[in-house]
Formats: sequence, structure tokens, C-alpha cells
Amino acid sequence: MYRFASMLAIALLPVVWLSACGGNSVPELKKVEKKDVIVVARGDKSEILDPHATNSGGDAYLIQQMYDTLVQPSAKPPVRWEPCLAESWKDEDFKVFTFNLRKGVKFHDGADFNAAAAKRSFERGTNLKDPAAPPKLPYAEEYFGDIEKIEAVDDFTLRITLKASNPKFIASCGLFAASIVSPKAIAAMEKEANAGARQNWLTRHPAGTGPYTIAKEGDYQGAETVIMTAFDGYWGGKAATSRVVFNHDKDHKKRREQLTSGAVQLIDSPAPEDWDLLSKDTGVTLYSWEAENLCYLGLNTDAANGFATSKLEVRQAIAYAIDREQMLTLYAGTAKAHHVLLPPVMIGHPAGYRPSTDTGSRAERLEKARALLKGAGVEKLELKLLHPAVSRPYLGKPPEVADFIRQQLAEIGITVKPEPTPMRELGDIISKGTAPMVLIGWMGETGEPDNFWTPLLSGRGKPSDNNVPRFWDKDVAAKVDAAAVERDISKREAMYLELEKTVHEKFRPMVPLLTAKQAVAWRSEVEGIYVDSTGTYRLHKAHYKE
Amino acid sequence: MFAHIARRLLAAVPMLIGISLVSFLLLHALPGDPAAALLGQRATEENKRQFREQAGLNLPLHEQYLRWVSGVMRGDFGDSHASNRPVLKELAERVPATIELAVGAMLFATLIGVSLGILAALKPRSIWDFVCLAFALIGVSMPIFWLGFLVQKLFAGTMKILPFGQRLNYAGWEGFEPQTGFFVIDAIFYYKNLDLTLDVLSHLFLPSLVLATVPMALIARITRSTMLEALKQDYIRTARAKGAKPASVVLKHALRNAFIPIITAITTQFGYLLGGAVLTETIFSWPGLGRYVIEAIEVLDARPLQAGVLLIASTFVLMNLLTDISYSFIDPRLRKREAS
Repeated sequence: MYRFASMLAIALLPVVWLSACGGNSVPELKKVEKKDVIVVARGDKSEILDPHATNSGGDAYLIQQMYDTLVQPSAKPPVRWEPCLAESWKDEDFKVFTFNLRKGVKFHDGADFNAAAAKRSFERGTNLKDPAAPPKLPYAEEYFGDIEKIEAVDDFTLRITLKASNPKFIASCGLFAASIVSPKAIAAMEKEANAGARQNWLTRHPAGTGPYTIAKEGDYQGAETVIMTAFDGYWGGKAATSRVVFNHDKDHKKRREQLTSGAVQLIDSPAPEDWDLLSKDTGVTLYSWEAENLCYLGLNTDAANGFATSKLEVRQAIAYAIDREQMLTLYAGTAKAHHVLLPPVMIGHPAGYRPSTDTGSRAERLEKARALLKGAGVEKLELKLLHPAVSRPYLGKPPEVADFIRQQLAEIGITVKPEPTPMRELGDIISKGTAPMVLIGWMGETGEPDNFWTPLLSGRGKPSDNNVPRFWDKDVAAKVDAAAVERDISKREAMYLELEKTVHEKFRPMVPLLTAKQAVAWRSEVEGIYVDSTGTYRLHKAHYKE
Repeated sequence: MFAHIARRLLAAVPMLIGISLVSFLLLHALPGDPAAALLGQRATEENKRQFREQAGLNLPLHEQYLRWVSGVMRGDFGDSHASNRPVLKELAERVPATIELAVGAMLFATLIGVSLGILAALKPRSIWDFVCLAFALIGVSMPIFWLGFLVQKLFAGTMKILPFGQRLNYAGWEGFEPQTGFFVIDAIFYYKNLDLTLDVLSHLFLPSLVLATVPMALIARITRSTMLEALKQDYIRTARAKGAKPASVVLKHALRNAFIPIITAITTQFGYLLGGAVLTETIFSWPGLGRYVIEAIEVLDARPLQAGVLLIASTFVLMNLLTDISYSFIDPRLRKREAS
């Protein structure tokens, strides 16, 4: 009897606990019909949903469902900038930009969108000293560092004056990093003393003007699951499907199975080996495109960090030893070997040019690499190689590519220690230059060559936060700046060709490896999904076919 | 019996102190500066300097330990630098998920494992015995990640009768807010919603089954061997001679006497499962304690790591303690020894 009573008491414990917890009334529970939900399975994670604080593509895809910018990319390539929160704009010699803002737009938190709100958002997103700023603003310096003045001329006119003429400024205003954040949210962030807390604030309380929002705190379940709800007050008309759920799943086979079985409606960046299978599945639409991306090996050039890669001979030796063909086997025909900075789809891509380290037979190149190392007095070398812990659109299998590099460099006596690193940590390591080698990549967001040159191999007066090699050369930086504002296309192309030659022959701060086609796959019973000209999938028009 | 329990409780104290010491020292074992491990890689030198002073990282190690322990006793595990949220709040979300999964797995493991073990013991060297042993061998040796993918492909991908993973079809419910953190309990007692309950149970089914394979195999083998031993005893022959029903002989006379090693196996395995089943949680996107610790390791987030290790190790001690205590309930000889 006694034992029975003890067991009963133990069994009833959760019920007693529940009674204690459940003082409030039961929240209304509603079963959502399948037609009202789109589930997305992603290999990438979303960790910082603050448009100003992140530079991760994994975050950007989600941010772009919730936030708007003044201008937006065209639905179809080539990239053109079209009205969004700004209905129209004009410029005076690309120096003073005046935006006529859209009226009747509301933020998710109920605040009104107007020129003062846009001004406050730009201030927060471009100035690290702003009281509401997160600890890092990865895009601020190179894209908005030339802003001299931001003025709310009247309720719906915003004027931005630059220090010098900059024709690509409009493209910068279309970057997700220029998303407009509610002034009410910014005021709340100002009260947070800790910069880290300010960075995480928007992740749990999104405050944009976009078609979707995270309705309550519990809907952001870490990086694993994010539930978005259609924003009733969206200026473009309420999204066609009321809920979108983003799930993270590292395993590409599981993502594929989920899509083919209909458990999810969209997967982004399907693994290349799955493309064939997906394209043959009648229930699935596979959309692929030649993307503006680049996968490369960044070699730290900064002598102050004390890495052997700061010696030109070591960097050249590494470039000689890299064999891209081996890596391409991992991409099942969806990637091409790449030898320069700009991808083939961009203006300024030097078709046919190959740096001298990338020519000749492998045996010859290995011999040259060994000779270079010997000449530099570096015959036995150990180097850390950091790479993203999760797959990227241009790097589906980071550990495998890193391992190929390890094997290839072993042939010239360099011992490589690959280290998978979470994206949020990798960004900081890159900006501080605390790793000798980083396997990483870049996805273009504006269609401008400068969107590759300035962040990756230049900066504003110093290497930009995304400049993995921490490469800085005054002449190169000046030429990058000059090419960005050159309006004569043929002159501009010649300038970029010269830059490619100078950088790869004279400095070798990175070894470009490949460019990869990108893809998104979705269930054919869903229509209205589109991938815009910058490669971002947009979901607000997505709905199930009748 | 109470003296026995008190002795066991006292014996657990030094163990818990040792665990707390190891958990505390983890902070100093992480590569790099402890201030960086607590604040994250983003912290500036100035942030770190200020933090060292505020958090007492400049104090002697024993004083730091006492500070930390007193915080833990008050439920203050510090904040995660990755999420900027109190670790206690995050644990409150993760631990119920792990307990729910462990309970589900142990139910499968115990019911199937004990039944198979009894069956094998009743018909030794028969085809039944062979099947049970083969089943146990497969259970122990089959890699979880492979089995996980296989059952996902079969039940979720091909047959479409069970979900791929997660605790609930989040997409399918508007307004669901966890109350106790135990979704099964929330669905049955709080929301009192049959559809929701079935949804939660369907999500629990596959991960529990996959997680149950190893303990199931161990329990089956131990049940078989102890039952074989028990069935040879004189009191079984006596019970049969007295005309006891076969079921009563097996379940009441033999199984009860064979139960101590089985209970030990069950509780030990349950302790392991409560420590977080990293692989199962990863395969089925189950947001439990095991994944929490792994995520903390990935980003060198010291406070969640310390709290996770402390909790997992303490759970193990607690489970062993409960095992010892349960002996007194099951074995009358122990109670009598205590009484005398």
C-alpha cells in the first residue's frame, strides 16, 4: 500500500507542477491548415537577426523576409534597383541623394515609417558609437562610411549627403544591412547597457516593415526553428501564406527527403549530388542559376600577426600547391574552377586571364612551391585552417574541401590543421585577423564589382571587416576606389583587369578556388516563390495552388 | 530503511562537490582567456578587463569557486554569451525535452527489453532465444545515426506516417505555448487537446525508439541471464510444485527476484539518457540537453557548458542514488537487514 502510494505520488508530480504553473487561462490554440504554412528546411543557421549586426548569408535570407530597404533589387537579372520604401529618388552628381518615402507604412511594432524613422535607422546602422548600436557593424564602414549627413527634410523626404561622389550608393541602400529598423525598437535597444544584448534584441523582437515578422518571443527557437507570421499591416498587401517556418537541418539527405515527401515546401542550397534527383522528381521544382559568388582561401598578409603567411613566398607556394580539380569532384558538375576575384557573371571579370601560379603542370607547380618555401627559409610549417562549421551556398562541404587543402599542402611540407568554426565566431576572427588561413567565400549582393573588391581586398582607409587576408595596399585601395566610380565601362573593365593582375601576381592575398551555381528547390504545388536578381528567395507571394 | 537512504545521501555529497569542482574548472580549461569564454570573441580588451573585475576573475581560484557555487545554489548559472539569456532559462527549456525523450526511450527499452529477456529465458537455446539474442546484438551494434536515417526514410519519407523530427509540428499550431516544458503533459493536461497530444506523441515515437535500441538490448540480455538463474532456483520448483500458475511463477516469483540487476541496468541507462542523447537529438532536431552542451562547445560558451556538465553529472549521481534506494523497496532482505 505504502509503495503504491509513493508511486502514485511520483506519477502525479507533473500534474501538480502543471497545476502550479497553469494559473493563467489556457491560451487559445488553433490548428493551422497545411495550406496556410510553408516550411523551409535550411542547411544554414540564423543566429543574429539584426540586419545591421550580421554579415552572414544565413541570417540575411531571414532578415529579408522581415525588413525592407529604401530600394530593392529587380525580380529578374541583371540587378536593377527599384522602389521599395522609397517611392522615388534623385541624386546630384551621385553625392546628394534625396528619397521620397512611401506613406502609410507601419513597422511590426506599430511605429510609423517616415523620414525621421529612416534617419534614425541609418544612424544606428552606420555608427558604432550610437547608443543603440550592436558590437559590430560589418557593412557600415565600406558601404556607408562616406555618409556626411543624414537629414529628414520633411516627414517623407530623406536626404543623404556623401563626402564624395559615389555612383554605387543606391546599390548600398538596397543591401540587407541598410534595412530600416523601427525607431521604437531602437529606443528600446538604447536602454540595454550591454552591446551583446543590443545585438540579440532584434532577433527576438523584429521590428521591420516587411511581409513577415516573428510574432512572439517563443517563435524564435534558437537557430534551429524560426516561426514567422504574416504581418497584417504590410504595405505591399498581406503575405499570401500566413505562416512560414524555417528549420535548420545540417543533413542534406534529410532535407532532400523532407522535400520529396512533402514534409517541407522549400529547401535552400540543396547539395549538388541531389540536384539530378530533385530535377527528375515531378513534385519538385529545382531552380538553379549562375550566381555571383566565389569560394576562396584567404591567406593572412598582416606581418603584425606573426603568421608565416605574411611572407609573399609562402602565399605563392600555397597558391602553386592548390589543385582545384580535386575539389570540383565534390560539386557534381555544379561548380567551376576559378582563378580571379570577380565571378564570370560580373562586369570586370577578366575572361581568359590566369595568375602565373595557376599555370603549368601540377608537378612543375609543386616544385616551384617547394623552392619558394626553401627560399623563404620555411621548410616545415604548421598552419591552422578555419572553415565554416555549416555549409554555405558556395561551399556545400566545408570539411571535405578543407581536407583536400590539407592533403595538397602536405605535399609541400605544410601541415594544415582544419578547424570548423561557427559563422558568428568566424566573422570576428576575420575582422581581427587572428587566423593564418580561412576557407570562406562571398556572395555578391549588388551586381557591382566593387561589392567584391572593397570588402574582400580593400577597405576604407584600412582593411574592411570582411577582408580575410587583412590585405592593405594604398595603391590598390586607390585603384579600387577609382574603378568603382569610373563611368566608362571599357575603362572600368581595364581597371579591374589590371587590379586582378597586380593583386594576384604581386601580393597573392587569397587563392580563388571556384564559383558555384546556386539552387533552391520547392514543391511544385506551391507557386509564387521567386528568386530575385541578387539570389534571395522571396516568399510573400508564395501560396498553394488551388 | 531511512538510515540506508540517509547514508546514501551523505555518500553522494562528496561526489557532488567533486562534480561542481570539475564543472567550475572547465572555465579555466577552455582555450584562451576565461573572460573571452564568458563574454565571447567579440569582447574588446576593455570589456574583458572590466568583466574580470566585476566577475571576480582576478580573485584566487578558491574564492572564485565559492562565488560560483553560491550562485549555482541560488539558481544563478550566469548568462550565455551566445544568446545573452540566463542559462537557467535555457536549461528550463532544454531539460524537459531531454527528460521526455529519455522517459519515452526507457518505456520502449523496458517493455520490449524485459519481455524479450523473459521470452529468451523461458525457452533457452530455442529459436526465440536466438532471435532475442540477435535482436540484442543488433541493438547494441547498430550505429544510431544510420538507424535514425533509416527509420526517418521509411516512416517519414516513404510511408509518411510519422514526422522527420522536432518535438511538435510547430508550423501546424498557432498559439501553442509550452507550460511545463513537457509537451506530452502540456497537451494532455493543459490544452486537453487530442490532436495536439497525438501530434506530440507522433514526434516522440521515432526518436524514442531509436534511442531505446541500446538500453533495450542491454536490458534484454540482463533479463535473460538473471531470469535463467532465477528459474533454476529451488523456490521456483517449490512454487510450481504448489500448483502456482505459470504466469505467476514467472512474473511474481522469478522476475521479482531477478529484478535487482534489471533495475540497476534500467536506472543506469536512464541516467545515461538523461545526460542528453547527442546523436539522437541531432538526427531528430530534438532541442535537448545534449545538443545544448554541444552547441556551447562549438562556440566556447562557458556558462552553458558549466551548467550542462554539472547537471548531467549530478543527474547521473542522482540516478545511482535512486537505484540504491530502490533496492530497499524491491529486496525484502535489505529491509530486514536495516530493521535488525
